Amino acid sequence: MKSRGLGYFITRFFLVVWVIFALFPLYWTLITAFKTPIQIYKGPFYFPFIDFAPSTNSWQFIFFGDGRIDFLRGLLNSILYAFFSALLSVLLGSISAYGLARYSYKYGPFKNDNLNFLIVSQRIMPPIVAVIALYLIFKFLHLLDSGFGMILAYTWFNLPLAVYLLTNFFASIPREIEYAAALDGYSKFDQLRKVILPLAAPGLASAYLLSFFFAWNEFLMALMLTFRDAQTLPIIITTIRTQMEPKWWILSAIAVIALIPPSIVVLYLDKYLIKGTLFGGVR
Amino acid sequence: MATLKLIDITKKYGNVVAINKLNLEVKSEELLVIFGPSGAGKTTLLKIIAGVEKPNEGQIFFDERNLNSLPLEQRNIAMVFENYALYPHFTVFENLAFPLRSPRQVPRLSKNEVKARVAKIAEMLEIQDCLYRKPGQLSGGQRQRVALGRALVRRPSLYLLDEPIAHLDAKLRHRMRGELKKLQKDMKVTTIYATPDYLEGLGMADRVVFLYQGEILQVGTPNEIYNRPSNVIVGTLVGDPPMNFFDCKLKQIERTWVLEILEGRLPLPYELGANIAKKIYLETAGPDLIVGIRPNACKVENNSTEGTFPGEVYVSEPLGANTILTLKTGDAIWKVKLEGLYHFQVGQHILVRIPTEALHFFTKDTKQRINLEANYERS
Repeated sequence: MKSRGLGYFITRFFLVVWVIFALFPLYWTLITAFKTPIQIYKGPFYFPFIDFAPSTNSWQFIFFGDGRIDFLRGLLNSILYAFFSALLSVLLGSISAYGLARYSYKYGPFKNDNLNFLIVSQRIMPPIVAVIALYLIFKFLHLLDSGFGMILAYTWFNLPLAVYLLTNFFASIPREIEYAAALDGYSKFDQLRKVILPLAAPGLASAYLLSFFFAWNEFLMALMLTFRDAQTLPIIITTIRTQMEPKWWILSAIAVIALIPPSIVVLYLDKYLIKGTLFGGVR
Repeated sequence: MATLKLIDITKKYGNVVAINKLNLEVKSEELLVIFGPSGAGKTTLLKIIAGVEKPNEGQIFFDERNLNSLPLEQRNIAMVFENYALYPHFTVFENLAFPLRSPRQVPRLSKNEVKARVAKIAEMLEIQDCLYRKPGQLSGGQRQRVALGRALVRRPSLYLLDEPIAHLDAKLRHRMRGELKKLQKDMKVTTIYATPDYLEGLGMADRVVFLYQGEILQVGTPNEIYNRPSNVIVGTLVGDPPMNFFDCKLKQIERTWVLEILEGRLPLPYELGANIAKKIYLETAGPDLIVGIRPNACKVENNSTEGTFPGEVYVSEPLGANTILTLKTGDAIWKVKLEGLYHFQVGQHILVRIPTEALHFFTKDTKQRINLEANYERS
């Protein structure tokens, strides 16, 4: 056995501290979801079955109690908005990103790099600046409190990031591979379908994930643009918290459920996120 | 028949001229080698023919049909890219089968036909053991063979091979040269082959195009390129070790023409001397010229006679079948290649004969070959 130096133990120590720091909130949310209000307010209890008896009363409330309708609608809305806005962002984003990566544009003084910056610069501005204008536009177009409006709003916000991410990704795919497919007799559409898109899969998957996460967690636009029917889960969570007293047990239970859909998406897309798909293609 | 014509092709990258007003005609079924040092524009030229790069000026005709605006997939050209351009997400088998499965493959091939053709080409290229691996799991040489196989597996109207065997090991490369040449003759498909290796160029070509800095310096058979280099650059880059060049003056002493070379004098046959004198005095109005001599044309002699020159052995490289000597005479460093194995001491003084019939003459200012009358030219 090689003797391990002091450095080894110091790194391990900090890693363990970091893991506790990162996982504790998650653990706390999970056990809080199984506590009664008294167990929460009486002082910190750390271990179920040891210093408190777990209860399912918050779960009964959200699935069978008064909060059921609001909660389930919010959950469904959130899933739909995140799923479709991310899909639209990747779909539209990949089209413009491919164009920016492969063709040269010149609009007055603006060339590809400027266009790319122009697009991504929309993310520099905090959404709160735009949200009032967006409210007026939505009111004019009768899109307030509608699912379609929310998908549109999230796509609008996610698109710049998707374009930026995917432009770099498409640019990293050697052009020769595309030319090779063309010389092998494949049309532009087939080149994209059979060669470029499979090679771009990791980029598409990460753009989809980031867009999905943003739409899933987004609060401000949902707060301003929805009232009842189109409300999302983050809004539902806050409305529960602000009624009279903070109902930590219900909040925690919803938070635990809110972790599930993004986790499923991550697990599903994981196989596309493998690195090194381009390795070996060119010298 | 299927001839390819390039007319006034110019390609610029920014201010850099990669191909300058190039004209070339490729005959049907011939194997044309584009030879030139790296940066000469070989790859650019092939890419222009393939349609990957658009020329800034000029026209390309294939079978009298203008290719300039024809999309790549309609050109029916197979190309081996210098950087391979394999499909990294496909296995080797899928890479090789991809052109056979294309919608432009007429008639459609059955699964078994595709398998058979892939197997045949894989066997020829010795990659049958890695058909189900992906390019990332192959060595550089194997990847290059897959790239070559993907082009050879189908039968296009034109092959463009960009250094297709440059990264194979020496033994396989040697074998592939012969195989490719034979395959090209069997398939009778017009082929343009780019290489910086003169052995490959001379060994395989029906005709060689010598490309240098985007311009064609010489087009000719391998024999013409080797024996009648059109200028100093061609002489330097074809042959190993390269041709020796000496700045010298042609003078008439009494009734003989002599070259003042290597601090000595080399008398020329009268007719030859007069012939050169006529050319250089007409063209450059001076006695200066450059003479070239291949290292293997020189002979080591024991006795000092007319036409021998002294040299001090600077480096001696015994290479089995040959011995390459680097000699120093005055300020000049030059090389002699002897057949057979000899051992010389560094610093040893030897005598070398420079035969006048093996000399190549170039003008001093333009470095172009001085074309002599037929009876003095070497075939």
